[in-house]
Amino acid sequence: MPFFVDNMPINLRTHGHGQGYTDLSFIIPETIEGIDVVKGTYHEGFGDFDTAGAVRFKTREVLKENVVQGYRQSGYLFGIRAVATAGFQVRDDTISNISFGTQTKRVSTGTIVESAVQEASYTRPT
Amino acid sequence: MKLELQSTPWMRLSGGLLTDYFTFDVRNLCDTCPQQPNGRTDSGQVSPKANLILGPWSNTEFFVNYGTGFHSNDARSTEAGGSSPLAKAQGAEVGFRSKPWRPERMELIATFWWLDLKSELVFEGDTGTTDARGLTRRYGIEIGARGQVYGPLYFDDSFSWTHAEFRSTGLAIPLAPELTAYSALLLRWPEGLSS
Repeated sequence: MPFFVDNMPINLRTHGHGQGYTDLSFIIPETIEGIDVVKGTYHEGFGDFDTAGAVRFKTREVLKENVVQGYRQSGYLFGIRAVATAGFQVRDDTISNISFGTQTKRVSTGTIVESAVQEASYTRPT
Repeated sequence: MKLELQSTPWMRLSGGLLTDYFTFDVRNLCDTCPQQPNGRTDSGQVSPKANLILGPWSNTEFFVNYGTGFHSNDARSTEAGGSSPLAKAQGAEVGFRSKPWRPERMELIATFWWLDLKSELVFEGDTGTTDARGLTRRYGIEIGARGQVYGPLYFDDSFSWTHAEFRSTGLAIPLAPELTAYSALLLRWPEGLSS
């Protein structure tokens, strides 16, 4: 199945885990407004991987509330996650800037095996 | 390319043609391993799609959908001769959608669908990779109902049954689910609280 985030295709081709491997870890859940799931091969507009259906994520245009979140999970894999979003309302339903960051760390037997910082910002002309 | 036709009030026909063209260019940069894949392959497919909706008659619509799609294969295996560059998928469904009572009250949906894949990729748990295993066929039914029970209480249920087999042997496809069911009761308070 093809996956899209705001029409950007997500499936990775010629990937070691399998053709069309879909890594959704970059998605920040707080920024998702909704998910469309389309069944079948009957709809034009989806190309590669359109065999059983398609999934489309839509991100929010405007973040109406501010979120600060921390998350920690311990066990075999240790994970830490932090999210901060900020929206500055200039006019009704118009926002000047959205920025957010996440950080994930996985620690196995005391060693950091994966660490990533993701950041994105969105500026809309007012 | 998309075409929509509404010749009579009770019939809507829309269809489209999607053309995809792929170039697989694999370069082996390892001098001492000539067995690694290397080469260039071009492949394309035209995928027709058609949707026919009949009705509504007493809040009931019937639909017939047909379409072809595809998935690409790993560029290295297309050069190594392991699989065709593009694997075609062909599917169709017939069904109906009905709101037999008041339109906001309850929606019923039922479909019979069919899907043929030219090359099924099966996940291999032992190696953590996928394997192209040839022609497969799936068909099944799906029924669902959703609507308002009373006041702020809503329900959403669906059930599906699928038969999945390899065309050459008739054996079942590993990891293909046969029965799925979903049931939910939702409370939607007008104040914005839901559970």
